[in-house]
Amino acid sequence: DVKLWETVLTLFKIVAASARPQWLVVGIYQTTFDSFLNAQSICQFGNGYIREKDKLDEEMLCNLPGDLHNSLISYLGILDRFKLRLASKTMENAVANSDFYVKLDDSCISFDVRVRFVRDSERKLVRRIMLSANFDNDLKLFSALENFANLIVLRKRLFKRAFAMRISIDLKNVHNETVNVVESLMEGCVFKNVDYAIHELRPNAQLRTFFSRHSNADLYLFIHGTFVDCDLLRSFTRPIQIHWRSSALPNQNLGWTIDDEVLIELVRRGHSFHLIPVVVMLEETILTLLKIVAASVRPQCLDVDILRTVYDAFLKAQSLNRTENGYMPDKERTKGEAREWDDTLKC
Amino acid sequence: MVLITLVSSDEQNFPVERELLKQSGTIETLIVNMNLDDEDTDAAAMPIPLPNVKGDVLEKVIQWMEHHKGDPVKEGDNEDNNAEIVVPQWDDDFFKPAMYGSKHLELTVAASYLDIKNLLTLSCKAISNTFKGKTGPQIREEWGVPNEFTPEEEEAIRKENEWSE
Repeated sequence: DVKLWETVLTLFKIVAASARPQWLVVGIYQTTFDSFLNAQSICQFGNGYIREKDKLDEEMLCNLPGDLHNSLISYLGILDRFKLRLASKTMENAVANSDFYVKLDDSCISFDVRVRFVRDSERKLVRRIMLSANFDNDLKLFSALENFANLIVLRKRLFKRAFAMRISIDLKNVHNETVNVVESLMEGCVFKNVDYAIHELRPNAQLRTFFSRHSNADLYLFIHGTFVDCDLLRSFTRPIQIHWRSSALPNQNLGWTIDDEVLIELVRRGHSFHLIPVVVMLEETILTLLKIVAASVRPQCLDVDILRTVYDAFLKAQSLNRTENGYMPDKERTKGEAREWDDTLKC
Repeated sequence: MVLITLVSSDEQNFPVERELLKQSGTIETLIVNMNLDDEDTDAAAMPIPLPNVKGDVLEKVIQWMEHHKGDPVKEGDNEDNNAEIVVPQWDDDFFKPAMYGSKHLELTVAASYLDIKNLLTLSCKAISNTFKGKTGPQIREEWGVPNEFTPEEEEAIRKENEWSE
């Protein structure tokens, strides 16, 4: 039981100056310890002790410049940000104004909206629009229709700008107004690519507004099922990629088709099409399309159906013949340089 | 060895090796713009005043720069994957005595003012490490932050936090 505060100090000095780790467990009278703290201008701080002169100015953490708050918060995952919001109003505000770097493996923010029928408290089936927003491995936000407003408020309180390589939006059988909800959640998201999937959704004014607002992004539009608005396709002025899912290729009852003239117009704008529900009817169209794609300054992909008779006519017009692996001009065929032509045509 | 004198806000002089100062974007810009590099001019002998940095903090900054002499200097905005940044043991030991104190925060502010990106990154990371896994009240207690919330406000935030999975 150490009785003199000077002894405490001497012991500290010896241990501190020791060349090897040294442990010392002794009893110290409370009054002795208090005198020691007093003499050394040390005060209790949290679970430990700190010199008075080093004691934190209570306002200092909160009064740091905004960019430093942003730096501090940038190292925190979303769950730690949630907790930090409860530390002080300044920290709550700092989290809301912070940047958020999406740390998912594919650096993608995704929104998934779908309609579900659920039973209410009276066991009646009611229609609900379910939205899940996935910002991080730790952050998945869920909402039913009447809670959209809360979800948007919360999103605004978590970060000002989110950085991701890609945003994926998947709308499944939902009302058009949901586009606005997704757009509110996206507010402040900085991205390079947008994947937008549409399921049985009739294009409308909101959708057009969305596409025009995000025309600077590299848009990849997935279309599942019927898509009845050719005007929407024609409204894209910047190159996009449009992909009809093979499982939902339009059937004979589609009621509309893209004709050769529209197809050429769209390809000329630089769009890429995969599994587009069009059947090319004229051999001249094939040549025109090939010329446009060949002259394109950016990679462009075109995957269309062509009637066999039209295709054969095209080959004939270009003096090309079928071979086992590809096509080559008639006159070249006799020289046996099929391999070289195969490579050219595959490219 | 070329020495350049830095003057802290409390007018303490710190002669520092020219090579070390390349870590500070702010000082490097000053040296280049004012021709302090040119030994043939009077400017070379001119001390650089740092009115926003106190002497004891500047001393720590110089100590840090001396240890990190020769480290590659970061350029541009920080676009690293922040989750992967690890505070090396030496730096952890360097920050630890001042952790939860105003000195560490002053050091961080100085790193920002002097534009020493590596020091700023490690210092911020060390502070944010103290937040990890802690609740709001725990952070308040450790960092001496006064509680500004009413019980109702605190409850509202807790409810909002329940929106996440």
